[in-house]
Amino acid sequence: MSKHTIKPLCVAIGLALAGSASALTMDFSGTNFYMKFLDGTQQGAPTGSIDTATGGDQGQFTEMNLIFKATVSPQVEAGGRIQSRSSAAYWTEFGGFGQENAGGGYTADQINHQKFMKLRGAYVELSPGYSWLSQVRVGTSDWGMFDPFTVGKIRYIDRDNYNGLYFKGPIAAGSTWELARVSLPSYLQFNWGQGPVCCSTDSTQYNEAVYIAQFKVPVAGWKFAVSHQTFNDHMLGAANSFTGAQKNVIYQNNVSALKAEGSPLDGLDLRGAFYLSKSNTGAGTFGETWGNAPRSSITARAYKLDVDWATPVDGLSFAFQRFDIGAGYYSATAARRESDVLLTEGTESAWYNWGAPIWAGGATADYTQSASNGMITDNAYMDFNESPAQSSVGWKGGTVVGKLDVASTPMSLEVTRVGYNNNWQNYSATGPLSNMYALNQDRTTDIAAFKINHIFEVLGGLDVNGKYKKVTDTDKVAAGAADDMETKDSGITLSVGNQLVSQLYGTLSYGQYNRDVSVGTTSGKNDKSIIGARFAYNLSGFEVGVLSQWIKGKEDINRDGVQSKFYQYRMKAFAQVNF
Amino acid sequence: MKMQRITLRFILVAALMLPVLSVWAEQQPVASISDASGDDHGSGALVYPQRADFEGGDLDLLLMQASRDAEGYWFEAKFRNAIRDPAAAPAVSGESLTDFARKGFYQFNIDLYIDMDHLQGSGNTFTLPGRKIGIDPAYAWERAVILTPRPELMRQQLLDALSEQFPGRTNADTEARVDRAIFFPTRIRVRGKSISFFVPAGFFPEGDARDWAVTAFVTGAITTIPADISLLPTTRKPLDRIQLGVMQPASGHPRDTFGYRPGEAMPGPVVDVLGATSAQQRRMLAANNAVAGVYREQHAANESTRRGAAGDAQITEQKAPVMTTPVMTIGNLLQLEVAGVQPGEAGPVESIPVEVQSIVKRLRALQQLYDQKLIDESEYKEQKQRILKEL
Repeated sequence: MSKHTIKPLCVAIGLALAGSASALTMDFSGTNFYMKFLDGTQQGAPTGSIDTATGGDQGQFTEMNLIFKATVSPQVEAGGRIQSRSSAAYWTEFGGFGQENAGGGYTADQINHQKFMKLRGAYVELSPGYSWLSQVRVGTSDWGMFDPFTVGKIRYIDRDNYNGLYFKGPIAAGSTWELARVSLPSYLQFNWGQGPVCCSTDSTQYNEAVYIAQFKVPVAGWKFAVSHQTFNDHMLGAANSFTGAQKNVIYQNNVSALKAEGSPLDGLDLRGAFYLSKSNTGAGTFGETWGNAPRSSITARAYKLDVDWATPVDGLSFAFQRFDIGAGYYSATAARRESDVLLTEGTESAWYNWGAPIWAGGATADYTQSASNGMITDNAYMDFNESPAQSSVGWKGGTVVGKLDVASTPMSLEVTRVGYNNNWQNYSATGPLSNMYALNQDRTTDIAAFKINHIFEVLGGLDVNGKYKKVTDTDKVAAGAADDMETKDSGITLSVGNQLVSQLYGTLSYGQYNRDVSVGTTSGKNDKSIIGARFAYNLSGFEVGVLSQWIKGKEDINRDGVQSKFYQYRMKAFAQVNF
Repeated sequence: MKMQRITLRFILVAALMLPVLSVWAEQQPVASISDASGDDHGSGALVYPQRADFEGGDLDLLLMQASRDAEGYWFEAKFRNAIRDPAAAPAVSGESLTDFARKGFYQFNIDLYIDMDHLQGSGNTFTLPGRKIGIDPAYAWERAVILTPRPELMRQQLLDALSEQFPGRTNADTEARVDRAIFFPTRIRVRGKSISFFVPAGFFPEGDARDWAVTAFVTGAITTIPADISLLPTTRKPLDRIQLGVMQPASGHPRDTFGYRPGEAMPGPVVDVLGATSAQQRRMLAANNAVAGVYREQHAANESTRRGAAGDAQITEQKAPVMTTPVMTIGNLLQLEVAGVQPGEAGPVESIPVEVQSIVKRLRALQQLYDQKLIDESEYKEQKQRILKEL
């Protein structure tokens, strides 16, 4: 389009948008440009995308996220999101120029280097205004309106990719009903949508969906919610061009949930949640070991009880949580990431992915506990400054967190004991959970974390944080001491932050971490120190964040008594402009 | 390595003990103002954003308390729900919100507009950009405290907009005038459902804080500064374009901001007004009129009280608050003299010494309060005696 055409076209669009109140209005709020810069000592080679998880610590790339929303009429809204999916679109390659195949065509890896744009989602939202129906959504959503243990929010990189139908309406006295049909991606279907025999075709996958109904009822200051969801996975049977193909149900997944929360006394908050999941496989159906779901039929329950108590003592409060999540608990659409379902910090994230050279420094943010099992809890495409997710399925135990704020110094102490519902001996290799857990386990995990903060009124305010954490994980595995495992982690982290100038905030940190591992009669000591510098800079509409770390230490991963030195430098910077 | 561990543990313990051992100032309570529960709907039309991290009660203000220590004032706001941690918030582009919202909260702003002299017409009647509401002249304010998740950023955005709209003022002058009247707290503590924020004593002129009136309200917060996209040239001024961290309502059930029923007039962004009942709040906000405040823990809308058997004041009669269209804008902040005299003010008081002018004004204002039955006879006589003693 020539420049002679663009100007009058823009004016025409502007005049149209500036028309009468009943005309279409467009909103681009949320649109942003995002640029990422990585640098490091290249402990590994990237295998397809510019992030730590796939081995990348070099390069720069740009993403554009265009979000638009059109208010067509008082009852109708439509919107969408177009985002570049630049998993490996390095600036140095000019959109794939350096990766073009001389013979023509592109391999899957080469496509990652192209700067292609993707329709990440489109939706229509209706507000029909009926007394029984207040909201309808057709298309994409992040599905945050339900519970992480049932239909959970989707991991960021996939967010908005789940499509479905959503209906919501009022019932008397502030209650609501909700119904949804979520089209289920093939990778979440039983055996990944390919049936019990690997790699056969299965055209039914295009119509597979999870159906969920949820009711929320407020009663006397308390809030109650109940939901039920069901998913039937089908496999094509005999084909018949006259009557259509036969479909057989090979797997069913049903999940029910009941939740309540309220404050019986001033300063006392209670929350309870109970879940029941059923996985049923059809006769003769047995899942593959790489499947996300249990391999055969199993019923499991999960519950959480939370008590938050603000004591009469000023500045003193406690939070208690009791949790028990069955080892066989499974929901096809449970949140895989980005939903922290437990109170505990979890294990020490500074040792995340220990043993992988690119992760020598671990992760800088605490773990989140996901509601999905270990097969589908997702840490793909993540950088070292993000929170890794760890599956909480199978966990049982309790957490106590005490908080005290005295002399403008908030501090907290967490104590957690985790047992495991998959602590068993000689579990059958063909059992329903044989694809998810070891056949022998006798494990406990103890976590203690103390944190303290104080702002010193010097130099415009020095924000000082300190943390001491200790984690002891023991697993006797099977009978006999030869395979007993014990991991003891301890670590101290100190940081000082300061608003250096009005637009620039800086933080310096130092951490010292130790990990002692013993397996049978062998043991190994590992320790590392991490020096970090973090900066956050902003101008109106423009944000920059930089995190640099210098890691050095000694490792004995092989537990042969020989410690080897290691060193890593890594840096991540990002810049974004938000519209 | 062992020495390093011991050294670090010593540093941690010392850091723990230092503030505990230091002498901390005892806080003296100044005022406590409660607010109705369940009135976090603005004018009655607002619905919460559809995001999973926003639900009813998150911006429902229940209590505001003020206390004083040797260094300044601590304000504590209590909400119906626990205040959410930015670490758990969905972030733009996958980066954690904690990098930028460092104060332990991200969902709301709290504006406090403090009328220190409680004189009709003395002070400012505008609110900051993005709030789209004015202050009743009976509660015209001299000092504003703006609690926001990104105080440094919002303060800078305000200064930039003022400098752009009033290029005749130097940046230093603009900054001095803003900082004299508006404070963005950075010392903030979040504990469960409560958030406390500190304002140094030097921000307020000398006086008895128990005589202050305050107009306070809650708005939804945005933690970024959105760009202003205009396909055509715009006549909107810089101060009219900025949202200054406030979520602006959008029609329907938007995900990232408050919504309202399609087809209805767009309500303002104020979610909850301190001290007003739900009905009073609806009346104040429905027509986007001025918001009235609280004086001596009684909301302005209550024109009479009945003393019960135990002598406790009870609110029994509710009338619509006095509403006038605000005539001032934030630009006036750059025009006002330090003494607070309004531009163009004239009259017989000009020939009287400044200190006596102040007393005359205060006596007139006191008379107005008594005539409007905002104070009873005993309070009128007590205050009149107090003012006359200064002659």
